[in-house]
Amino acid sequence: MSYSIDRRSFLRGAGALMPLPFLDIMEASAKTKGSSQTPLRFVSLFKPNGIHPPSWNVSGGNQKSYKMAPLMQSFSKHKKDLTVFDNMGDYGFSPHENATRRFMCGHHNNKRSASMDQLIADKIGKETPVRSLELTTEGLFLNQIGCSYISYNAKGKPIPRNSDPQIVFDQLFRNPMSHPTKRQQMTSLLDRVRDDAKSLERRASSRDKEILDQYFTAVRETEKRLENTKKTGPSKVDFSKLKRPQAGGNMDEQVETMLDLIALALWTDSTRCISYMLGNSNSRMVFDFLGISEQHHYLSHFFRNFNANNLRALMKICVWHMEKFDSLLTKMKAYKDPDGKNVLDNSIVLFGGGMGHSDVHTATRIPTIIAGKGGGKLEPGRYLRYNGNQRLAKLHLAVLKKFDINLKSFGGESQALNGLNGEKIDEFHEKPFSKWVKVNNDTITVQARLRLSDKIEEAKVFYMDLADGSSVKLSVSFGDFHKNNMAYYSGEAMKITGKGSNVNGQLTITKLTEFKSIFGIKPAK
Amino acid sequence: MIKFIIMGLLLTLSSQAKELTLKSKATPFLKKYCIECHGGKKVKGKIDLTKIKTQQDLLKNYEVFESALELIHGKEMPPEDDPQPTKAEIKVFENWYKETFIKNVSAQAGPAKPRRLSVNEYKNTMRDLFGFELEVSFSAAEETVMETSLVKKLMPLDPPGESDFQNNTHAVPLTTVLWNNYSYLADFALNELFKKKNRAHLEVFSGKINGNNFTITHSKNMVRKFLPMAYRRVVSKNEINKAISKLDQKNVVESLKNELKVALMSPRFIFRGLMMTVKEGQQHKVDQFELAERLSYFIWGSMPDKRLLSLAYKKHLSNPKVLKQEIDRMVADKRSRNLAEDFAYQWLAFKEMNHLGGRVPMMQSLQRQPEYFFDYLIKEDRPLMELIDSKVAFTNPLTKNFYHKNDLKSMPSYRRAKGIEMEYVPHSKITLKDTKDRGGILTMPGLLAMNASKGRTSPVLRGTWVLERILGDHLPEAPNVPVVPNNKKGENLSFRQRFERHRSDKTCAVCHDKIDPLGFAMESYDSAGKYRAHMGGIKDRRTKKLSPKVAIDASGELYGEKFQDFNGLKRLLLTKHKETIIRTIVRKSMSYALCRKLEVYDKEAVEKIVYHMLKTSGTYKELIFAISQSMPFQEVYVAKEK
Repeated sequence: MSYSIDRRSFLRGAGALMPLPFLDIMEASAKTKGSSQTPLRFVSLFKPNGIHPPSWNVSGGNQKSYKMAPLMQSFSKHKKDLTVFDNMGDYGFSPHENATRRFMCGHHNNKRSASMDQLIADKIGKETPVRSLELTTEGLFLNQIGCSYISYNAKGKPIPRNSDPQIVFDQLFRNPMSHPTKRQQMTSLLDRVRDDAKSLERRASSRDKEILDQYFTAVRETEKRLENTKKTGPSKVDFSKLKRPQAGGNMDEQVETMLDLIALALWTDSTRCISYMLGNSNSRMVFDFLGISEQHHYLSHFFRNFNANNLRALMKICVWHMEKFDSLLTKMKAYKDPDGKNVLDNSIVLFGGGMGHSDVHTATRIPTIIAGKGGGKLEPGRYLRYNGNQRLAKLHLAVLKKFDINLKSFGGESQALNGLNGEKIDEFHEKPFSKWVKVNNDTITVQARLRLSDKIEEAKVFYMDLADGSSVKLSVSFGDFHKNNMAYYSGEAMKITGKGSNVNGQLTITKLTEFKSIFGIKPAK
Repeated sequence: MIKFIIMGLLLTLSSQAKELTLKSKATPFLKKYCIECHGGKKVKGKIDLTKIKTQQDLLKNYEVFESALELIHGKEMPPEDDPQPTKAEIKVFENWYKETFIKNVSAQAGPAKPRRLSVNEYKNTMRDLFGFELEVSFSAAEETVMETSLVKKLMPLDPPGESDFQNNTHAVPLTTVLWNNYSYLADFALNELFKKKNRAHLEVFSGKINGNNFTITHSKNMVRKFLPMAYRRVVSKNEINKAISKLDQKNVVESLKNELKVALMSPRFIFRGLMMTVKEGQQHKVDQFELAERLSYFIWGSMPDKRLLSLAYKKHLSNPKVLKQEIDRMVADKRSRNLAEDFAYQWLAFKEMNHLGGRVPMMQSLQRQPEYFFDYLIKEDRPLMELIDSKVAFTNPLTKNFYHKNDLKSMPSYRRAKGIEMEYVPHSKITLKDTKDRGGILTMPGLLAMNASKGRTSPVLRGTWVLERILGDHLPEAPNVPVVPNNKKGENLSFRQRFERHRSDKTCAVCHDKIDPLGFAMESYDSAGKYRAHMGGIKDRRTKKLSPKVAIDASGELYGEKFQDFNGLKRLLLTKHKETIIRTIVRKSMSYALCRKLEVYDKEAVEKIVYHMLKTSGTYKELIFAISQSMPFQEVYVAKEK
């Protein structure tokens, strides 16, 4: 059997952004490895700075039938591969540092154990040349150092991360120990170098000989290691056919390259466990390549620093994060495993963060998605809204089980979350209410669930969906939007009255006169 | 039962007092007054005299006896409560000291001992050899720190050597980890060199390349030019030809890269001083290439440039006039910033500012201040003592509030852009006229703040820092003592009063008599480095009551001289302690320049420079010149092989 790549989907998925160096792997005749079992992999992708709930939260729907929220549109084509979790979280509020720890440690206070990715790496990392990869996009944020790490070792200490695709590539594919051509080069180099140093030895005094001895020892040791790897045999793919990535231009290119590497590393079975941060959890990154000059953290406080331009800028950044998730999934799908399934089918990908609302730092409704079929152990294509907060630890326990890691407890939880492979869950039930619209001249009254427009650039346009499939559009002035705190009520059952008209068959309210939550929901003071 | 007996045996063995085995005229004195605490029953201050067994050990540890004599003269040792030596006994000890460490020791050059390039030197050498920095590919993100140097990211940190500087790499062996990194970095650099964007750097070695036509001639040119630069000296025709013979006409670039990698992996590149010409059983001047290398690694922390190598080839560096011109040129070059960023960084412990906490741009601003200042002292050729007192400071918008607003008028205007929470902005030079409480290194806010902990100033840390880094004292490790107790009920003592009562123990006094006046004089600066006339007056979170406001008592007495406040102490340092401070500056610079600990046989050379600097109120450039002219720098001693 040979590895094959669906070339078309690879190109289409990555689009113009894809850095090209890996394309010629498709020409490479990759050899299959001996083992018949297709491995299960784990990838996590961390989204920094919480979320803008109105555009993330799913408005209504049920397990099998739900409408993806505006921000989810970027990866809607993967809907069948996704399990979207809702009501994941803890009680109260969460500083950035806690949010980061929570993402893979179950609970922010779980500071003395390994994060879940490391537990998985302990279990499956020995079978691959590289145990695990811990990746990121930016440097360390020193005054809250915890904001910079999602992966922790068994003592709860942060694991250094790598952000340079070239170094990661070299680590995976240019290590003289794993690469036959490199090994050959190194052997001949050692001969030359020894030769050169020998000529020095003749003129050296005993003091210098001490130094040269050290030198020869290092040479000999390297040689020995080369010999040993030769015995264990070469790896299954001819890595010399892989082109080394170019040093990244902008942030976007760098991340795309890293995502390429992640998919490639999994496909070549160089490693099976990868964690990647799209930014520190309180990232101050400036997304200049998106035409934004404000820092991400500043913008993520969209209420505190409220204005239309800031909100637009924040949405652009969030969309970029979503596109990167899409890109990862697309790339993983492009590679076929020996069993004929794609790499995503044989993986569990955790996407999300540890914080809900990015302005008030809530620890509730934390964005959480699992992608992939987990080698048949998961049943994706569903939206799971639980009744009441489910701590992330429960989800982590459930994922660990898929890797045959059965812990009594993790992050203070002992109960694994139900639902990953279709078992019954304690579901959130909406209070029933009737949906209707009344039009009286230029006055429209509508009762339905309020939702943000799917078009993310229309950050203040809302719709209310009626039972018959039609909807009422709300496109009001910025003053109305701000005064009524409309975004807050996104997803809620509302009764709204306003001035409006029928514009080309679309009922549209343009000025609000009454704005009321049916169940008396109010913003927290 | 058996276990119990063995345990008991061990106990009696270890509690037995050890004997002094050293045979010398000082032995009776040491046995009578010192051994009990320094190697006999106890080992205090990490000084164990029983470990000094031979004449060689003695000379190696000359500093122990140097400070012992100082302490005995100052009546600081033996501790007050213990029996005191008579004048006659002290005289015998002093005579022995002079005989052993002064009369019988003649000035001598250091041994010729090759050593590995430190990580900093390796990084700079690769940069200057190739013409570009080896960098991690990264996106600069605000408010984070990332190691951008590929070399520093990959290489394990060099531990400080005997000299306390990281360039003293003699004790750190070459390991396979290092070897692999050298191999990786060589590949990396060579790949970069052949990239289009680095064409100009490639042509430095290969000559003009037309289009993409890199020929065997280019290859040969390259070997001829690259090898001497990498080895930092002349390479014989034979060796060049040997390398050229390995070039492959069919595989021009790859075979060339291979040969260049051999050079980069050669001990000649990785080590310093390995190729120096030596004459056994003699003390002699180092060869010119070695001299060029000593100079460039001292001032730039990097390899000699083409000009230096060509002067060495022509043997012009032995001419002091040429050497002086070269030092002028090298100091003016931007690479000399290495003296601030590596030498002063280690000497004055700027690294500690990494732990300041707070936001990154603020931390960076504080840390760069002394770096800018030290670079200014060197580049603008200021007198040595301006380290302690200067009218010049460097500040940026984040640190400007430490200075009087009238002094800030020369700063360029700055407005933070919308949506940017905080950012580092380069420092600019200001002249201190109306700022009365700053000037010199001691009052740099970052240095004051790093010697504090948990929002509280630490007079002990501050005093120790001045004593060790500026006055060149060597303090023993502090014994494990409990923290200063809080006021008991009914007491209303200041921290200083409570502290003084706490450390009234006589053994503590030996060090604290020196540390505390320095530290308490600096109490005029709070834990963030801000000037304050009072302390207290802070609202308690629970009781909402203001704590009593107390005026700061920064007065004290240093070696018998009284002062009223910090500026008084500074005046004392500038006058009474000028010689000591200059000696520290000379010793630290010398030991960085030589990449080794100073030995007893270096003393004469050091003292010569100290007196010259003292007499002439010498400047930093003059100091660099004096060091480069000194015997330990210029010469080498090679013992005869047995």
